[in-house]
Amino acid sequence: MFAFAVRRSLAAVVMLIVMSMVTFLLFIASATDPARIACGKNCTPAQIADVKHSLGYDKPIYAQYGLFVEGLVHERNFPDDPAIEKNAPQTIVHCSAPCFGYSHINTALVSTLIAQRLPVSVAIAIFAFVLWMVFGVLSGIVAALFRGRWPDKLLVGLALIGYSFPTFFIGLVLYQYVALKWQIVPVPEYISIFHDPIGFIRGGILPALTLAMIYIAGYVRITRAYMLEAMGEDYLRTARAKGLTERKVIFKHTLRAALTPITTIAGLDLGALLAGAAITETVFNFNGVGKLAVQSAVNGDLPVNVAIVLIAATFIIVANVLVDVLYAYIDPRVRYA
Amino acid sequence: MADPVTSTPNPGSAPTADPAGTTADGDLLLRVRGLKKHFPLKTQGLIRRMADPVKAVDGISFDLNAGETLGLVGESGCGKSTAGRTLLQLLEPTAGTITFEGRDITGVHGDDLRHLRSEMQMVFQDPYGSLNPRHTIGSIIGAPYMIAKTKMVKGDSIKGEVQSLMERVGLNPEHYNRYPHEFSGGQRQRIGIARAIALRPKLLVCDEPVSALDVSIQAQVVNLLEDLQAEYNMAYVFVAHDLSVVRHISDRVAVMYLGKIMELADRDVLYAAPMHPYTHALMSAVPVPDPRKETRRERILLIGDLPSPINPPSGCVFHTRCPKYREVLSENDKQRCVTEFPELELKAAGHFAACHFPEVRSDIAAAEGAGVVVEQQIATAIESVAVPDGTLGL
Amino acid sequence: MSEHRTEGTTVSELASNRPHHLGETFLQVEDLKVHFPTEDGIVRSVDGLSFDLAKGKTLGIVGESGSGKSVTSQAIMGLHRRTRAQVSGQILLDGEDLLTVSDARLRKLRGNDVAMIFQDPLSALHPYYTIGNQIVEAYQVHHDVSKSVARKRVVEMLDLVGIPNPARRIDQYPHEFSGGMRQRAMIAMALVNDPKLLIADEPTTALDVTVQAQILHLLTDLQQEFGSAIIIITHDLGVVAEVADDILVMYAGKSVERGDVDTVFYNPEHPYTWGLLSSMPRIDRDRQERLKPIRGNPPSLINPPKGCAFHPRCDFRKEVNDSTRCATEVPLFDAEQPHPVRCHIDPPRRREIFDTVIQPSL
Ligand SMILES: Nc1ncnc2c1ncn2[C@@H]1O[C@H](COP(=O)(O)OP(=O)(O)OP(=O)(O)O)[C@@H](O)[C@H]1O
Ligand SMILES: Nc1ncnc2c1ncn2[C@@H]1O[C@H](COP(=O)(O)OP(=O)(O)OP(=O)(O)O)[C@@H](O)[C@H]1O
Ligand code: SF4
Ligand SMILES: [Mg+2]
Ligand SMILES: [Mg+2]
Repeated sequence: MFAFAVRRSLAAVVMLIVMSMVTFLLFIASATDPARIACGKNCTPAQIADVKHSLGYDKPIYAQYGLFVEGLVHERNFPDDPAIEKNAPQTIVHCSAPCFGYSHINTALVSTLIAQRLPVSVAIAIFAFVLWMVFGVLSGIVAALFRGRWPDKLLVGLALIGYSFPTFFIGLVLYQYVALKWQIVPVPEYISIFHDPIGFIRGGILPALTLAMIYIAGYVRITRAYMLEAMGEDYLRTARAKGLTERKVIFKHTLRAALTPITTIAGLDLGALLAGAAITETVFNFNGVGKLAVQSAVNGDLPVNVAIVLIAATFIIVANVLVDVLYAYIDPRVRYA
Repeated sequence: MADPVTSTPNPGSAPTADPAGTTADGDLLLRVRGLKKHFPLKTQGLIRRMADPVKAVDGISFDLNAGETLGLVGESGCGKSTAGRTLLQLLEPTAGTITFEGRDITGVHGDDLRHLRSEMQMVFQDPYGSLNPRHTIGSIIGAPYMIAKTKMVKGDSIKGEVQSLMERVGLNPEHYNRYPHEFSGGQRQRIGIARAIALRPKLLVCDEPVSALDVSIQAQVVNLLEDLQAEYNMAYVFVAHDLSVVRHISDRVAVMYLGKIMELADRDVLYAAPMHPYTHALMSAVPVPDPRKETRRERILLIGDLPSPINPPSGCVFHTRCPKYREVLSENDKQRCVTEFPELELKAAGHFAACHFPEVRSDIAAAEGAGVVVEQQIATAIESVAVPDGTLGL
Repeated sequence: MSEHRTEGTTVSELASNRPHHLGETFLQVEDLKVHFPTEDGIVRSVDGLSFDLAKGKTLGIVGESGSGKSVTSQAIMGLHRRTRAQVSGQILLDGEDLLTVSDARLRKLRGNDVAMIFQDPLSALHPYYTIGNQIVEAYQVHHDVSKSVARKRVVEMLDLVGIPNPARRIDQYPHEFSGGMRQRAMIAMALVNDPKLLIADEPTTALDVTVQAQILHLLTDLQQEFGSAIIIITHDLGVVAEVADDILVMYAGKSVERGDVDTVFYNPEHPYTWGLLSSMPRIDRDRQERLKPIRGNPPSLINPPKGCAFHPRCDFRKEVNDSTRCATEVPLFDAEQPHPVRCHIDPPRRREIFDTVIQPSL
């Protein structure tokens, strides 16, 4: 088991390294010239070349990648130019490891930018996760237990509706009506959960719900399907034949079988969600990583882009590893495969 | 592994292939020598490395004539299916050679392999799982024509061909456009057979084709297979664990244990006078549908489970469960079983066994009267078999 | 769990009417019907089945695939869901009707007095729990004991069914067991509460002959030790010949012949039983030139043939005095008889046909 976990983690590290290279290549090789954007509209070619040099974009790609990787473990200076360091040390930004780079557009370190926003995104994503697991999975179980009768039809119908509206539409409707018009909850704003838990919930419920909606809908259906599959298994007949109560048959034997695959999917979805909450954050104007990603993409803010993609990839890969390990723990058959 | 036939010089080891004229009894179609299929395994530890492989098939040799049926029996997991698949090149052999119509086909690729597929086909056990539920049976049975591209059959004529095939296997040709779920188990097995024989193969490997069917339907399918064989002179390798069915359909039977052939003989001989203790135990375990015989019958119960094909026992792989080893042999003899691997050898005319201490064939002993030196018997038997063509076990 | 639609008769009336020709009757099934309403119509899987079974005896149920054998056994266990199946008739276990008892009582009986072994031991065991966990659970449902006591009992049971090194094996998962060992574990689970009735639905079909021999041996041994009644369902006549005292032959949800094992094997009287015996290859006889399948296809259970359900496939209708009866009138099955046969042919004529036509060709 331990060996399994370690092996999976090592594989994940290799994957991250490859991801970082690919990302780097894709962005650096893209058509937008970061130096031009950083310099501004009215720059002469000479000025652009200057900026390019001071930002290090004139170096070959592998060297840039090398610097980037070095920065992850080592301090970097922006611009990394001994002449400037001597003449005007105050204009140099020190970036301590792990250094993801410097955003000239925001005139801030990428790590600072992200560190401000990550807690917002993570908190909302986890809030959403809790919502969808509770409502989605529970409704799925109920639907399966009442298969073919009205609770089933109702839940599956609602899920279908939830599924068919785009996220931004759900978000806008909730924002417009629940918050602005009926004022059931205050206008959404991010408050740290450690600071004021109630405030966090009241301020975060709408974005979390928006984020969770499509998942809730999906999970009703997935859970229902897995439950029904598990309910047809021969070993449930065995469980009944032992004389177990129906409650025990469902909550011990059926759920164990049905929830195992759901755990996997849920873990992966959470990873993906952490990686991309862009729409919701934009709609509710939350300063999370998702919004930052949208902004930096629009502005061509290269270092931020690279960092966000890497962080997203990290979330997804780490989620994958955790899920694999978790799955091996709950499904004994996997350990030997 | 030195095998019984190739170890002697053999002028007929590559018999002239004359596909048109191989109807006479005794035409060698398939020759298998020292065939092995090992599945690699990975270890569990921190660093994965190759561990000892699963020796699913571990050196089997036999010959098969055109129009002949070879039964393949043995316990679950002894490698019957793997042997069948490896023969057809559905799995790549680890070692050994397969000669088909005098041509070495071990490891053929590409067009050669595709051509070979039209000559050798397989019928699977599971009549439910092996048919794609979203294809009509017309397209399932017609698929081989499309894939093989060898016989020039086009459009409408495929349909005609398929329908006559359906009729031949006892399906209603009007059901051409129906889907597999609309058919019963026995009918689905007929669909599988129709698909397999579409290109008139010379060899059909049947992997437990009737195990999932009940007795009456099983009888229909067995009869169909026999009729088709008579009509097209196909050779069958018939894998099954029901020994009664195997006896009914086979000409010769090979008994496998842990990836090896333990005994290979003519059907009637094998059932009446098995020489290998394993065959003995296997035969005695078959329940007989006759209550009076059933209560009188003496049964040899094998103790324990089949050993792992990853670390098969030393010497004779059967010695850990062999009743003879446990109850009859002296310490000296036992030593031999534990250390020395018994080759599959000719012990009597057409009768191969892999055992150091085979049962004496009662029929031979009786024919010659008491006191016959069995060795002498075997010597004559070997002579009588060493015909120029050297066919194994005929 | 089950649908109860008792017909007029009460338990005591029926119980006192029955001749106990099998000694002390323990299980008595009366006019059992299990119907499944489906979109295509009502599937009459079991349609008026009656039989009984004494303590310490083994009943073999044989019949074509789809003839209702498994549905019958699940009805005895009360495993049909009320929402999907209509179950009627009576199933008396020691005089108590399993179809009318409360759910709580049924659960008490299930696994304790009546236990079941299923066909495919791998799918019948939960893949995520250890073997020990699953058997301990089965014991604790019916015995108020601590986990460690139950565990000790389970180790004993595993040892009894011949699993080597049970103290270690108990903590393994089903996929770590071989097929034969899984079936042994199933048997240990079924026997852990010393049931009075054991139902084995094709206990050896998924196993090969050597393991099958071990398992059948084990079952008969255990029966001798504990005196339980056993119902064994199979379509392998060899298995029945080996273990059963009585045989019930089913066709299209009905019983067509019942008798002790010698009678059914040596003097069968129903054309379907003849067909069954003729269609299998016999390892104990000279090899037949050709197998003789029963012609035609299995009947629909939604629109079963009128009259004798077997008549479209029967080769002996001309032997009936008025052969139109086969297609119009359901032959009677007098369960009181020692050897009841559901066929219109006169009994002496049936015996004659068997002796002169069927027997010689077997
Ligand atoms: N792809 C594979 N990888 C690893 N091991 C395999 C593979 N296929 C088969 N084996 C192993 O090889 C051995 C032989 O398997 P095979 O399926 O040939 O047996 P069999 O005689 O056909 O058994 P059965 O009667 O149950 O069908 C078994 O131990 C099996 O677990
Ligand atoms: N839940 C169900 N709904 C509808 N039909 C059913 C249901 N369960 C069983 N049946 C039908 O009842 C018939 C009898 O089934 P059963 O499983 O008892 O057959 P069997 O005699 O055990 O056959 P086999 O030998 O193949 O196991 C079959 O035709 C089956 O399709
Ligand atoms: S009743 Fe008629 S159709 Fe039915 S088995 Fe007897 S003879 Fe055949
Ligand atoms: Mg196989
Ligand atoms: Mg069944």
